[in-house]
Amino acid sequence: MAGDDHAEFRRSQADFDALFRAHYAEIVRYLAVRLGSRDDAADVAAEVFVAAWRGVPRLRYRGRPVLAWLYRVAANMASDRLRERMRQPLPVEVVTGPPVADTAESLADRDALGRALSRLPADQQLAVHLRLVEGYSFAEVGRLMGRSAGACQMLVLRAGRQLREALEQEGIRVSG
Amino acid sequence: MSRADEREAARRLAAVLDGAEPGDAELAATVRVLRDAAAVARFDLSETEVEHALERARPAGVAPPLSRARLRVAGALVAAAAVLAAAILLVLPFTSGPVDVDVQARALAALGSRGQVLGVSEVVRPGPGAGFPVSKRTGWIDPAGDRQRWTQTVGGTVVAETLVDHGRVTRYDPASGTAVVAASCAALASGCAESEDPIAFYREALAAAGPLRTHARTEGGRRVYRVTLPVERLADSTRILQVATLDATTFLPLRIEWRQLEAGGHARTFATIAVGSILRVDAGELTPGVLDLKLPPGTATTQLTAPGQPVQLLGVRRVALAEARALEPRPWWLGPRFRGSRAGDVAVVRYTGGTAVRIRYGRTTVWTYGRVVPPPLLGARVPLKTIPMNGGVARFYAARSGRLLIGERSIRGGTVAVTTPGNDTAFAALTVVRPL
Repeated sequence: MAGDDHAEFRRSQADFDALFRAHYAEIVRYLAVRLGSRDDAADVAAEVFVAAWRGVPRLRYRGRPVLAWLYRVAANMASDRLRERMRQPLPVEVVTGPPVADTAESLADRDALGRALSRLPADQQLAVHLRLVEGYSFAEVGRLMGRSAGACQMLVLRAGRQLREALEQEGIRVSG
Repeated sequence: MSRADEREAARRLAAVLDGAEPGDAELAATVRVLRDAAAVARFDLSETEVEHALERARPAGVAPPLSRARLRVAGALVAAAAVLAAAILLVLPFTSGPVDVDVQARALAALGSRGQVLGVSEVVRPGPGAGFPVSKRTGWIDPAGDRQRWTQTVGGTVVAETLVDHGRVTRYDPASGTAVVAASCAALASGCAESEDPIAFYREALAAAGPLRTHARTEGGRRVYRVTLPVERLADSTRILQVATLDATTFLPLRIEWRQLEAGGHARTFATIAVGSILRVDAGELTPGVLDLKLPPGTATTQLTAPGQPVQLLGVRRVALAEARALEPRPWWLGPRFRGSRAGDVAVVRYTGGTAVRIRYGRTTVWTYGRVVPPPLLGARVPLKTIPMNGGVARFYAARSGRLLIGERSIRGGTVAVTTPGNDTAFAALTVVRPL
């Protein structure tokens, strides 16, 4: 198993185009939530992969996939972008979703959800993104985040509670 | 809850996400909100977008950097290349990287010279996840003559016909057969962003901006500039900005995004205006009447009190519901109860210039007013969300305080407005609001 992972790591190092095509979209989706803007997300994702172009071939295998490195670089660049925005308010758009064709009430909920999601702590955002948006198992989420699966489950639980609280503060009741 | 209980709750949540039954309502609600949030954050990128991005990230025809193993072998060559690169950088220190240029004057010039009128068409989309329908606007802007005339439609239904003539605003709502006339956009509750066409608004912001230094970038295979223009800072430090994407060849706007930047750095787009076309026509060649708005006979028109001096509160008189029912025009309400709160604190509020009736239901308040807009209903300078509702048109906007959402509908003799802490409450309230 470890041998397979190592081989996969080597393949990712050797074939930049395949790495890009496999993971660019998910990095953009992650950054869109972090930055609240799809445009900014695409800009930063491009920087992440420019860094990957230079850096990935030189990575040492430490038991984690190249994707974990991509997410770490994306997270760091997103933090830099947020700090930069605080100094000089370059603005943003929110997370994006499918075209709006719902009832106005549920759309109002989507608006509130988008806001609440963008306000989660960074590690909770990443855990929710990996498990619920991208569909990785908690074991994979743990490998990508460098934490135990249990710790990632806890992050998702806390994220769920914070999202509910945020919605309830806006007068939106969530039932199961 | 102890750490062990927390761990158990997290383990059960994980099991439910993997397909197990939730077992209790609390867990089911948490799972539901997580899944809904994930649905909001999920979107696809087209293959073309990915390939364009790949071209930008990987210089065409250039081999990838060497692996660790080969790196040492190529060390000497790399060092030599570094020396050469350093020499080039010393000789040509400012020629690499994107070059910033000032686009303000050219962007302004692209919007026509003096004596020209702009024919515009736009599609106004709510910010992603923000809800409310897409609307279309078509109209004419005459900057030199200080007139704008535009029509807004939602799903083929005309929701507003607006004329701004030397600052005087006439807004006609064909669905309800009502019109509001104000001596200035400042007299409208939602302010000037409601009455002005987004391109006219962009043009004014551009004229006031001064130099705008930015560099060209490629977007969807097209060279563009992106500039940020401030609009307003709300009482809670939230900033409202316009971000315009301009064609790098014509300097005309392709897209204008209205964005809200909160004090903590969180931001969101609440409206995106996709510019369909901008025609420049000499004023003399314009078809007569295209910049006029004639109200049909029988239109119930409300003349809002002209601004000039701030509206002042003169007094508040509590009244019983029976007494409020006898007022003319009759106030509107949400019924005896709304979302668990009883109608209470019914009051006639007197301002300089007119009166309003206020009925409170917990954190939700219903206002009925005529000539004067109560100050708590004054909006931030952001675009409205306009939707057809119950044979009329509902408009939603953020309060200037940044905390409340306001929904309003034109009624015969005035306006009914609801202030609420959240979107869905405002929508629900405007759905059920009716004469007392």
